[in-house]
Amino acid sequence: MTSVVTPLDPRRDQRARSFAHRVAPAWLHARARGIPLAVLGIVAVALAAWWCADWLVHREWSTGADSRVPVVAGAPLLAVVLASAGLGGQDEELERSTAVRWRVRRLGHILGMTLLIGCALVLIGLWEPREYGAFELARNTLGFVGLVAASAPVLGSRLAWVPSFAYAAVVYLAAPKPILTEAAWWTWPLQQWGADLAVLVVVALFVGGTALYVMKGARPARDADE
Amino acid sequence: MNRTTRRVLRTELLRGAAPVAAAGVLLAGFLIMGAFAGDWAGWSGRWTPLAASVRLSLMALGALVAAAAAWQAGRERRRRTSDQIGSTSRPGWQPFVVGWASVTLGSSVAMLVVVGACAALVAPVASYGGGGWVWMIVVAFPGLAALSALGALLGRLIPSRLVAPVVAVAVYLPMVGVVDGAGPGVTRWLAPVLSPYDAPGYTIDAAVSLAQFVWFSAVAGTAIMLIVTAQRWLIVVPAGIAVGAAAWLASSSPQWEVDRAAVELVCTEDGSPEVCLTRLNSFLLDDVAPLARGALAHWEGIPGAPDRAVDETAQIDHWDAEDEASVRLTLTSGATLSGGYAGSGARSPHGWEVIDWWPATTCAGAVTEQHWSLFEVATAWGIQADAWLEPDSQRYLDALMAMPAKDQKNWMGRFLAAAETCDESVLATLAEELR
Amino acid sequence: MSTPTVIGTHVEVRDLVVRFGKRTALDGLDLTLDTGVHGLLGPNGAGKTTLMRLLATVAKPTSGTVSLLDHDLRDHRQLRRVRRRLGYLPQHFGYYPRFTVREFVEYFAWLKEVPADRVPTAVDRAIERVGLLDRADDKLKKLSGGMLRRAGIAQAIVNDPDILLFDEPTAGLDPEQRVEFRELLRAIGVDACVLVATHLVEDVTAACTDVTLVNGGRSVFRGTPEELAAAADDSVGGDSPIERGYTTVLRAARQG
Ligand SMILES: Nc1ncnc2c1ncn2[C@@H]1O[C@H](COP(=O)(O)OP(=O)(O)O)[C@@H](O)[C@H]1O
Ligand SMILES: [Mg+2]
Repeated sequence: MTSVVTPLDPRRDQRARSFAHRVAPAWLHARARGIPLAVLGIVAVALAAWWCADWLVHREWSTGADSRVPVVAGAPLLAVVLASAGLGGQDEELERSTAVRWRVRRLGHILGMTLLIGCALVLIGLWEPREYGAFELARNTLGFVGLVAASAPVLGSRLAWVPSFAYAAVVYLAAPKPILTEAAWWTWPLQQWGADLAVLVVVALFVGGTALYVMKGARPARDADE
Repeated sequence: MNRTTRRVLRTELLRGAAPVAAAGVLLAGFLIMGAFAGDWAGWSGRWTPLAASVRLSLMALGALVAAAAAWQAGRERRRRTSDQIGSTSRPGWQPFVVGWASVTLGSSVAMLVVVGACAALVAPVASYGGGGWVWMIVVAFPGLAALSALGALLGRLIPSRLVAPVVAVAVYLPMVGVVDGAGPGVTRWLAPVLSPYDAPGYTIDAAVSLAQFVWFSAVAGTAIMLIVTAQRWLIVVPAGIAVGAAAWLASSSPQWEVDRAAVELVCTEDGSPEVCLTRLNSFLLDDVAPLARGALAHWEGIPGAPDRAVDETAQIDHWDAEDEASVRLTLTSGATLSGGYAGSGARSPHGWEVIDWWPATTCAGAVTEQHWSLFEVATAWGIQADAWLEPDSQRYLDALMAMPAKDQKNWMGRFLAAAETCDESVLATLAEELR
Repeated sequence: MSTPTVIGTHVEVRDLVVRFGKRTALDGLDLTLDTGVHGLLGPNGAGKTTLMRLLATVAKPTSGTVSLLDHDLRDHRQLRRVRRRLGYLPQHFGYYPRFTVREFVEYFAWLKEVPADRVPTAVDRAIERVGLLDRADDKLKKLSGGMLRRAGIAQAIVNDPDILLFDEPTAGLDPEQRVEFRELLRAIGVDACVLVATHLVEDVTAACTDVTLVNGGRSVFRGTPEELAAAADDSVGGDSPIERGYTTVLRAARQG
C-alpha cells in the first residue's frame, strides 16, 4: 500500500478558505430561510403548471387559450406563496441586530425571487407566449410578489401569503365573466396580455410592495404568529 | 362537555385561528355572493341558484377555512408548547379537537351569517320556494367541516411553516378543475362545490344532497378519528361510511334534473298580448311584461306573427319548435336584489339578448345561404336587437328598415308565410325587394 | 385546595440512561425525592433539562426506570393519574400571545383535568400566587419577560401539583421577583415535591432544602446547601461559600 502525499500549497489553501468565507455564509443564510426547498417547490410548480396548461388546452371540450386562465393565475400564486416564507428569518429581531446591510439583502431577496419564479414560469409559458402564456405568467408573478412583499411588514413572513391567496381566490370567482378589460384594475390576475391597465396595476403593486418590504422588512414573529 | 371545556372552546373561538377564519369567510363570502347576485344564473330572487352560489363560494371559503385549521393545528409546534402540553393528563387529541371545532364553528357561523343575509334578500322576492335548495345549502356546512378537518389533520402531521398555504391552494385548485368539468364525473359530486351551470330550472335530488351530507360528515369524522383514537380499527367505521356514500354517489350518477314545478308557466292575466314566465322567474313578471309587450307591439297587424312571450326556461329540456306563436325571453341574468329587472329593451345588463325569436319554417335541413340571410334579417327586425349580422344580412336589414313602417310589416307578413311553407320563389322575390 | 394525596416517594429514579445518538445526556443517574424544595444544580449541558423532561413524562429514557408518586409510567392509566398531579415549567416556555393570563392558566387547568367546579378558584389562586392578579385580563403579548415567566409559573401550579418541575424558572425575573418566587417555592414545598433546575447557585441557597449536583449526566453531590458550602476547598475562587463548594465538587468530579 502506498500513501499519496500531496504537497501543501499555501495559496490553494487560502483560495479555498476565501471561497468558503464568501459562499458558506450565503448558503447558510439561504438554508436558514428555507430557500433550497422553495426552489425545488418552484421547479415542481412550473412543471406541474406546464403539464396542466397542456392538458387543459388539448382535452376534448377545451375552449382554447382561455382554459389556461387557472394556470396563469394559480402557478405564479403558488410559486410566490412557497417563496414568501423566506421573506423573514426565524427570529427577525435577532437577525436585525446583526451587522448586515439588511436593505440590500432584502432587495436581493425580492429580485432573486421574482427572477427565479419569473424565469421558471416564462420558460414553461413560451410554448404559447401570447394569450394566457408567458406574458401573463410574468405579469402575475410581479403582481403576487408585490402583494406578498407588501404584506410581510404587516403580517410577518409566515402569514404574508394570506392576502395574495385570498385575493386570487375571490377574484377568480367574483370576476365578471367573460373577463372584461374595464375591470382590469381589480381582475388583473385573469386579464389577457393586451390589458394595459392590468400591467399598470401590477407594476404599481410590485414597486410599492418592494419599497415597503425593503424599508421595513418582515414583521418580527414574536407576537404575530399564533 | 363540562364547563371548563366550554370556556376553553370560547377562548379558542376568540383567540385562536377561528376569529380570523370567520372574518375571512364573512369578507370573502359577501364579496363572492355579491358578485354572483345578478350574474349569469344569479341568485337574486331565486332559491336554487342561491344554494348553488353558496356551494360555489365554498371553493374560496373552504380553502381559507382549511388553511386556518391547518394553522391552528400547528400551533403547539409553532409556539413551542408541545412539552408543556405533553406533560398534562388530558389526551392530546382533545386540544386538537377543540381547536378544529373552534375553527369549524367560527367559520360556519360566519357562513350562516352570509347565507342568512342573502336569504333575507331572496325571501321577500322569490316566487318559487321548492326544489330541495335547503338541503343543498345544508350540505355546505359538513363540507366546510370536512375541509377544515383535512386541513387540521395535515397541519398536525406535517411540521412545516408552508402547510397552511399549501393546504389552501391544494383545496382551491382541484375545485377549479371540478367546476371546470375536468376529472371523472363523480368527483363533481364528491367535492363541496356544486357546479352551477344549469341551475335555473334545474335542481338536484334531495337524496343526492343527503348522500353528500353523509359523505362530508364521514370524511370529517375519519380525519378527526385518525388523530383521536388509539384503536386504529375504529377508523374503519367513519371511513366505511365515507366509502359507502362515495360508492352510492358514483353508482347512481347524479345529475341536475329539471324541476317541473319551477318551470311551470305563470302568465299575465290582464289581457293580451300574453306574457308567460316560469314560476321560478315569475317574480320578474311585472317588470318584464311591459318590455315583452313593447316588443310584441312591433309585430302588431302582421298575420302569423308571434302574439305571446314565453320564458325560455320553460323549454329548458325540449325545443318547442311548434311554439311559433311566441317570442322567447331569456331571464337567466338581470334580476336585481330588490326583485326588479335591470335590463331594458332587448338586452340584459350583461349583454345577453333577452328577447329571442326564430321564424317557424318547414324548410328541411339547412336553409340555403341566401335564405339564411333573410331569416337573420327577420329575427333582427323582430327582436330589435343591435346584434352583429353578416354583412349581407346587415345590408338587407338596412334596406328593410329604410322602408316605411307599413311596408316593413307587409314584407314581414309575406316572409312569415313563405318561410312556413318554404316557398323558395317567394323567398327569392323577398330578397330581391331588399337589394 | 386539594388534599395531599401522596404517601411514600414522590420521585424515584434508578440507573437512568439517556442517549441522543452517540451523546450520552444522562449516564446512570439515581435520584430519590420527597416533599420539599430540591435544587438541581449543574453546569450547562449537565443533563438537567433532559432529566426534567423525563420527570415531566415528555421524554422516555434509553434505559433505567422512572417512578413518580409510586406509579408505573408504562401503564397509560397510571401515567394519566400522575400527569394530573404534575406541574412543569419548561426551560423554553411557550405561550399563546393572544390569550389573556386568565385564559392561558385556565387552558392548562383544563389540560390537567382540574375538576370543573374547582377551576375558577384554582385559576384565580394560581394567578394571585404569582402576583399577576392585576394583569389577569391582559393579553400575554402585552406582558414583560418577567411577567410571562410568572404566567408560566401560574400555569404550572394551577392544579396544586404534588410534583412541580421548574427548569430555569428565574431567568428574566428581577431581584425582587426572585425573592418573591423563592417564598412561593417554600410555601409550595411544604406539601409537594418541588424540583428546581438551575445553574444559578444563589437560587438554591435561599430556597432549597437540599441540592443535587449533576455533571456529565451523573449525580455528583447530594446534600443540604450547608453541606455543599462545607465541602468548599478554600483554594478555589468564588464569591460565596456555596459557590466555592459548587466549584470544588465539580472539579473533583471532573478529575475523578
Ligand atoms: N434533543 C437532543 N438531541 C441531541 N442532543 C441533546 C438533545 N437534548 C439535549 N442534548 C444533549 O444532552 C446534553 C444535556 O443537555 P441538557 O439536558 O439540555 O443540559 P442542561 O439543561 O443541564 O444545560 C447536552 O450535551 C445536549 O447537547
Ligand atoms: Mg437546560
